[in-house]
Amino acid sequence: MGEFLQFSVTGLTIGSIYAIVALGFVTIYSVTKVINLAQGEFVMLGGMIMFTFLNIGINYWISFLLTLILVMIIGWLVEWTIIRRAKGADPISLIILTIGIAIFIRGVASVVWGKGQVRIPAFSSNQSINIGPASITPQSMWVVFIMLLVVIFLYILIDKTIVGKAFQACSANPPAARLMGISPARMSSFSFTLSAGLGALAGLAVAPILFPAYDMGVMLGIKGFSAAILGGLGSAPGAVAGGLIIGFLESYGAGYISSGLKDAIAFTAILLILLIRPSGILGEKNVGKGGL
Amino acid sequence: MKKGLLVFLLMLAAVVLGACGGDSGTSEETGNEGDSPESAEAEKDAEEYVLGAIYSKTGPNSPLGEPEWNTTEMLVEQINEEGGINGVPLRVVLADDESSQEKAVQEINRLINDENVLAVLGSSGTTESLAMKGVAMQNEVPMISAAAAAQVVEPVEDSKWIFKTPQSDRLAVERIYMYLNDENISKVGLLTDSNAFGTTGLEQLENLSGEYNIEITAKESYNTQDPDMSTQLTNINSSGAEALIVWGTNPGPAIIASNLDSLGFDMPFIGSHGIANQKFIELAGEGAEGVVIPTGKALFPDQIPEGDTQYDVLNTYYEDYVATFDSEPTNFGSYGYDNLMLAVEALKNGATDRASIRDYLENEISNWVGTTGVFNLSSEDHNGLEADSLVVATVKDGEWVLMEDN
Repeated sequence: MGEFLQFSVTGLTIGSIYAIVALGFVTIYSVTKVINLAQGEFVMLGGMIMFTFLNIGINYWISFLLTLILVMIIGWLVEWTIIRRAKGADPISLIILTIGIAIFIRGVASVVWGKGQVRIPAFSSNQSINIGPASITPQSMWVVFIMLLVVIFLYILIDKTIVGKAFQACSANPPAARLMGISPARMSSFSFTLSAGLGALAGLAVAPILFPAYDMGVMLGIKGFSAAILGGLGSAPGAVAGGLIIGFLESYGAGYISSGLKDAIAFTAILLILLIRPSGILGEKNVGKGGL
Repeated sequence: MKKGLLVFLLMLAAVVLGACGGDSGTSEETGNEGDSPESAEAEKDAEEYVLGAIYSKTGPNSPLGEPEWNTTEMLVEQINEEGGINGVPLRVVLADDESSQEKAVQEINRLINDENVLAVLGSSGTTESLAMKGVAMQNEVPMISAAAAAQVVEPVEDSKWIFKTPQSDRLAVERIYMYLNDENISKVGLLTDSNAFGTTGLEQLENLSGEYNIEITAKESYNTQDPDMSTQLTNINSSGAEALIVWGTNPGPAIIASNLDSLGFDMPFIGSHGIANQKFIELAGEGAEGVVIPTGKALFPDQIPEGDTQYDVLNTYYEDYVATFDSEPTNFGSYGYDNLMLAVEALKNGATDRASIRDYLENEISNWVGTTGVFNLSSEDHNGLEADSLVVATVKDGEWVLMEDN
């Protein structure tokens, strides 16, 4: 029983890290139908820029805000300088462009921060909390908390505001949206800025757990992307469900079957789920309706 | 469609042409080697001794290659300031393989054929060294590698021209098991990285456990960048292990140390020489306290007792390095030192062509005191170190310290 509890807590920790990264994929996809494969790099930038600010002695929470703003500016720049110029290209070409962006950001990061990992202090104390026989660090609980906050924020933004309606309109039918006076270009720019911000937030939340380095975006990108696909691309609650399912599968797989096979177990399960529900757990069968 | 075909054909042609160009290039170089009477004469005149060194100064292996590179530069300058080797100046052609096999092979071909070097030092990583091994064997040029894996010089019959200075994984495992025997710990749980470093470590840990009466109660693995290893640790803890052996390089072991700390299990954390750096302590923070590892003595030369045979060599080197580069040489710097000084030792004693340098290294190096350890090279052993060249270190107040009673 004690073991089961610890495996579950670890699964929750891992799963919410994947989920929080997956939310960034979902935001861009639901507006532009582009899968931004540089999302993991935004997460990395969140961690590394925070490290730089802390290093020059800026207060923790001010650094936190500055990092968010800076990464959002980078996200906006990426959209403005590269994605926007390729206007009219089909989503596949744009996805390939984002791979290039990812490699570029990674290269620059390795020059700026070197190849080593860095340590970033946790939000609050490092003292682990015991839940019966299992233990969890406060930072893991912060990750879960921030993840829930982001989902609620996205829900309100998309379903309760005019901006959200515009998002949905652009996704469903860009020409019609334009006729209604909505600029798809501006919405695309906004979605990149927003998802860079979400990526940075994810990076800030997981950095104290993961020891970020220039290449951490690769692993997080793959896992986050898998979570987003599993949940049904375009669905924020789906991304969370997908992330948590992968986290639990990995933890139970490592705990009860074999730690060497845990990735194989997790991804076999993902394949099976996708075979049964090709559109993902919470994905809509009728693609093209748009919205998160 | 036609256009596409045309482009494809053009590209094909370009590739074929490129390949031809490459071919003629290499044949020219081999030609060079055949008709090099001028350079052979130069050797007779002995205006200077030329060695080649290939280290990974850039790329993922740069933390290894950089101290090796720096050390080589520093020593060559020192040797020449003191009048060279028996009055003959030494020149080392340094090349950076950028942590890639292809570049390593290119560079060793260039050094052997164009620069006509007497011996090749390097490279830093195992894959690069194994790639270079073939070229060195084919051209019959002595090569002294700074790579960890034993395959570089084993089996010895197929490694006639290859030597290496770092301790092999096997020695690190032996040193850990010796320590466990001293501490009366016989049940261990293994947690190894799934990469090449972790899997070769696991092999050695399994192979040698019988010899030291160590029982392995659990075998778990992880990926270098996994976010949390609490699950594996929980399983190891309930398997009845008295100690945990972690085989990997940063950041994995640092995350494991933090997890172990927060789970509050009462198992000592024993690491590999892969985390013999300040970075590990920096990352793991409080979780690093009490971690035990096997390491070369160059990690903390000032803590080595004065009676140690290596004390003088180590400390002179360490102080020179710190004074010149304002950074720590680490264990990797010591490999760079031994690689070069072994070749210099051969040159000093009259072995001034490729074959005699090899023979000298194999037959005459016994009880040779280097910075990594005391070398005894022979036709059966082209590494020449024993497990006692490693010491056991532990983390105390955020510093690596030598374990006194070992």
